[in-house]
This record gives sequence, C-alpha cells and structure tokens, in this order.
Amino acid sequence: MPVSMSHYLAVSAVIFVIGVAGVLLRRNVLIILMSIELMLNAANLAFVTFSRATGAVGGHIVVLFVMTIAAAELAVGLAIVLVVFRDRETTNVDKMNVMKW
Amino acid sequence: MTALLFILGSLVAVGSAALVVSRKNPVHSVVFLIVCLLSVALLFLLLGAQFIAVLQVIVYAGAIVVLFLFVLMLLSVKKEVITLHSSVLQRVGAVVLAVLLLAEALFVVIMGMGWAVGNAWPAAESINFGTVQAVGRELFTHYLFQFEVASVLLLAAIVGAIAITRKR
Repeated sequence: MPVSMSHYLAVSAVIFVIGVAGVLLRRNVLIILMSIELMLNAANLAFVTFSRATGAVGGHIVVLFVMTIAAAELAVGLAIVLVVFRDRETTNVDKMNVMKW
Repeated sequence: MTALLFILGSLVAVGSAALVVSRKNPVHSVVFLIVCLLSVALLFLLLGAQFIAVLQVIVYAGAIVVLFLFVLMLLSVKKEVITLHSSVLQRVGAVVLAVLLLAEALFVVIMGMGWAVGNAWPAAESINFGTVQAVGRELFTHYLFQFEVASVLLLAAIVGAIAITRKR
C-alpha cells in the first residue's frame, strides 16, 4: 500500500490529540509543557506534509518559525515554572492558581 | 521500503507520544519525548524535508529537551508527591473531549481527501526540494522581514527569561 498524504495527516492528528489529552489530564506543569511541544510537532508534521503535496517550500519556512516560537515559549515558560517552584515548592498547576504571592 | 519506514516511524511516534503523557516520572517523559521527536524527524526525511529533519534533531531533540532536563533536575521534583490525577469528573470530561477531537480530525482528513487520493503526490519531486539551499533562498528573499521579527522575538524571550528568574 503506497503511503499517501492522508496517512501523514492522520498521524499528525493522533499526535496532536495525545498532546491535548496530556494538557487536559495531567496536573504537572512540566508534563503540560511537553504536551504543548507534542502539539506543535504535530502541526509541524502537517505543515511539511502539505508542503510536500503542493511542492512549495513555504511550509518548511513556517515550521522554522514554529520552532522559534516553541523555543521562546519554552524558555519563558520554564523561567516562570522555576520562579513559582522557588516560592511554592510545587509543580502542580492546581496549586499555582493564585497570581499574587 | 518507504511504506515500511513510514509505518515504523509513525508507530514509534504515536507510541512514545502516548508514553510522554502517561508516565508518572517526568524524567521518563522527557526521554520518550526525545524518541517521539526523533521519529517525527524520520517522517520529515520521508517527506523530503531534509533541512527541517536536521533542525528537528538539533533544535528540538538537542536544545529544547536539554532545557527540559536541566529545569527538571533543578526542581528536584522527587520531594513532592506526584499527583497524576485530578477529579474524576475532570478526567472523564478530558477523555471524552479528546476522543471527540480525534474523531473530528480523522473525519476531516478521511472525508476531505480519502485514503486513496494523494497516492501520487501532486508535485513532481525536484532534486533540491527541502534542502538548505532551497529553504534558505526562500527564507532570505520572501520571508526576510518575518525572519528579522523572529530574531527580535528570540531576544525578547531571552531578556524575559532572565528578568523573570532574577533574584530580587
């Protein structure tokens, strides 16, 4: 069976939904950040698939920018996690629900 | 051969992604995240995106995962009780919503293009599709402004991360 575009898109959809389930189910903020990375990766896979299908290289450029955003988001996100942990000694998002401390 | 590699890569990617969100120990999750990212890189290679595949290994599996591990070791999560679950209602709701989303996405994919359509990839694969040269030329001509904006964004992220974590 030859591999078609739909197969790649289906894999992308499954990985994305696993990421969504991770964000919804887990309460550890680090796991939630990892799930976000999974979702971004699934989106990247879809972008590269469409790029391959249309023959335009624009999708690769978007993936490049998504990686940039992911790195920036993760750096700031982990900085916030560090500061909250320093104060609260927890990585559980249910215990981080107060903005002031 | 391509089909075999695709099946291998997609199964490993989906399986390790499931393990990322289901392991109790965050360190194990990070390791499975590496596996997942590498198998997605394999899928990128199969799609002819060589440059993006290399970038995936260097930036994601290299830099980002190392950042995760670094913070994880810094936090010493061992001390706290790792709670996996929230309330039952929230868990059931989350599973239902995730299953609905999956059904919806697969419905769109299958109804939208079908399993058979797209077997012959529309674009004839040119010899340098997805190479550093092709992507770089596009990046520095059509997307030059966006590229510069991205660099400003990275600078802002660096300054932000330092400003947030600085002891006062």
